Amino acid sequence: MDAMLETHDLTREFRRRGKPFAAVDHVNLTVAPGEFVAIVGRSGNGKSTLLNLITGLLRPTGGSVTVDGRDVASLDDREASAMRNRTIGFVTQSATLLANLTVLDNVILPAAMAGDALRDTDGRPDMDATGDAVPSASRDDDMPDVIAPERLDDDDPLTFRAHDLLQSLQVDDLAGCYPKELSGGEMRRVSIARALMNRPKLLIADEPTGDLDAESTAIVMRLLRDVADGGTAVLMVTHDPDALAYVDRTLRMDRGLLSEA
Amino acid sequence: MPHVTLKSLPFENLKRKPFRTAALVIVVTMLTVAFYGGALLATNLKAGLNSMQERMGADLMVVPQNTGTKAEALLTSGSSSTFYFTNDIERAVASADGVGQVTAQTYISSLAAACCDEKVQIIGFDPATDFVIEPWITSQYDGALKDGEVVAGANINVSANGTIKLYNHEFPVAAQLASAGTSLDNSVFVNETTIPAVVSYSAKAGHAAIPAEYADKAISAVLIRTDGAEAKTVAANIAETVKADGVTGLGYVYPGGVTASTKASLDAIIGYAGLFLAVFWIMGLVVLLAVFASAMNERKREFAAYRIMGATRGMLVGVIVRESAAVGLIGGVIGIAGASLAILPFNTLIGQRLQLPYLQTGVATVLALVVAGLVFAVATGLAASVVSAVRLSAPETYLTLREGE
Repeated sequence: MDAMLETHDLTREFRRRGKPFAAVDHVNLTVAPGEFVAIVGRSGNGKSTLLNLITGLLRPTGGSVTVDGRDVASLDDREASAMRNRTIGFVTQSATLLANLTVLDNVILPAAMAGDALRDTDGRPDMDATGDAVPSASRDDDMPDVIAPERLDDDDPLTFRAHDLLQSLQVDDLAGCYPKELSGGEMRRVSIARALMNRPKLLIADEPTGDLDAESTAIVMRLLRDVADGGTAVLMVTHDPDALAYVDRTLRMDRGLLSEA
Repeated sequence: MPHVTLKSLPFENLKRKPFRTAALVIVVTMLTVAFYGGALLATNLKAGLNSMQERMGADLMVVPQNTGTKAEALLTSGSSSTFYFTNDIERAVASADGVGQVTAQTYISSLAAACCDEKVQIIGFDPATDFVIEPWITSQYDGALKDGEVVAGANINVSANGTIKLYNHEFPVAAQLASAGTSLDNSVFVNETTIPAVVSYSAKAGHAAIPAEYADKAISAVLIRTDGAEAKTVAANIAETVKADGVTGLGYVYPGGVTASTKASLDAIIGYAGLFLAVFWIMGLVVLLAVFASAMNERKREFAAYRIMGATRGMLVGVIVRESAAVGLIGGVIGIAGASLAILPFNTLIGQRLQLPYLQTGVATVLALVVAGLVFAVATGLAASVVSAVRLSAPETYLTLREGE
């Protein structure tokens, strides 16, 4: 099977006090579709830089990144942006919800950016959190048992899907709130819903359980596991030992170098 | 409720930051008031000047000694006055070399007293010889002005029964003229043959405008159109001619010179206003740039989020540009509406305060200025966002954006 993500000798140097140093140093990484990979390591060892190189938000000093068969460095801004919008879902380390939009609009925005291409063509969608169209009866029984709230915007597939994702993460009752009204953990869960909105092939999560209690961590990790089982490649940076129980493979990053944990 | 779209995003951003939006709108509003208001005033002043030039008609005015200033004020927008010759000067002037066409006018100022509806300039003219006022009146009133009737200037308050009371006499108003933007708007016009009656009414009211012995022959100015000779040469010829009759010390007014000096004053005012406007605009633009740049720093995380979600640099610039254009448009509309309300209903008052010819320009010109004002306001808003847009267009945007992380 072709790799969803592949890096080859990936390097990014910065200068600190006039001296160059490699934040990411000749990293070789492969993540297959449906594989759930975790990267652990101390803060400041290049994990976030690696993730930003993968998304094309930073250009490598050396080496290459291939996502879904496309060399990220060769993409122009429009193509790289389209890839971030449609192929990659990114849960950042810090809260990047837009303060001016409601939770619901925050989740919908990536789809609004993609335009109508993501809208279902066969009428009203019925999708689970991974984005696959499935009958309601076949939902994962391990997922939290929640009562679906009344849907006021059933005619709008984007609104429907956003509610579905928020419900999966148990924050659907906050759909009309603004981010400043949320706790850190709630914001993190909304960010995950936003990252999943466009049904990404590659989900990148930078400490997705950083602000969460044990119960919420379990909810999020089960969801990410479910996403991976649905065929999405998941690359997660984490400091949370509890989260590692859900992954297929764990790597360690130390001073820019990536190795098996 | 419809969900968010890229088009609605800038407006959501503006709506959720009401104080920042209001501050930006206020700055643009102030700049637009200065730009549009200044342009409207300048246009009206130029229209007044053009109107004054059209109304001049004469190359030279001969007036009594030391009344030149009063006569000039009559041509522009000064206060009304009364002056007259005590001798028959018109025939002597007409006989001078270089004089082509001659007509006489009489100027009497009514009183701001109980006897009169208002203080106006009464101008007596001879319809048979007049080449200054008569063509203008004829262009708007095709009837013949009868003795005892008046034609009212644009600013004259004519009573409901179509008359105006001057020196306790109700004069029928035959017609009212369109605005000229000069003191003629505050004048009433009568036949030369009506002047003795006006003098008589003034005497009865206890405020004789002209002594009774001069009532039948009093003229205030002889207006001359030369036969092509220089006005100053003709004035010298007139001085020589009347000297033979023992008359010395006449006053001479050169309407072309009055126009030139008024134009010079106007150009100076417009020049200073333009300079002030430019400085004001630059200051306002600096404030807007600072506010936008400051907001840009505050919003780094927000822009990072857009990029992470797949926004192109063009989309980010588009969001910024639409926000600033909306601020410009809102500020522009408010500024234009405010300036219009402050200027358009008060033309007469503004003209009087400026002491310059002032004529409200036409609807088409005002509409053109409105459009120009809106374009200016939107352009100002867009210019203010240029720095932010350029920064967001940097090749490796994340290096800028990560500062907010």
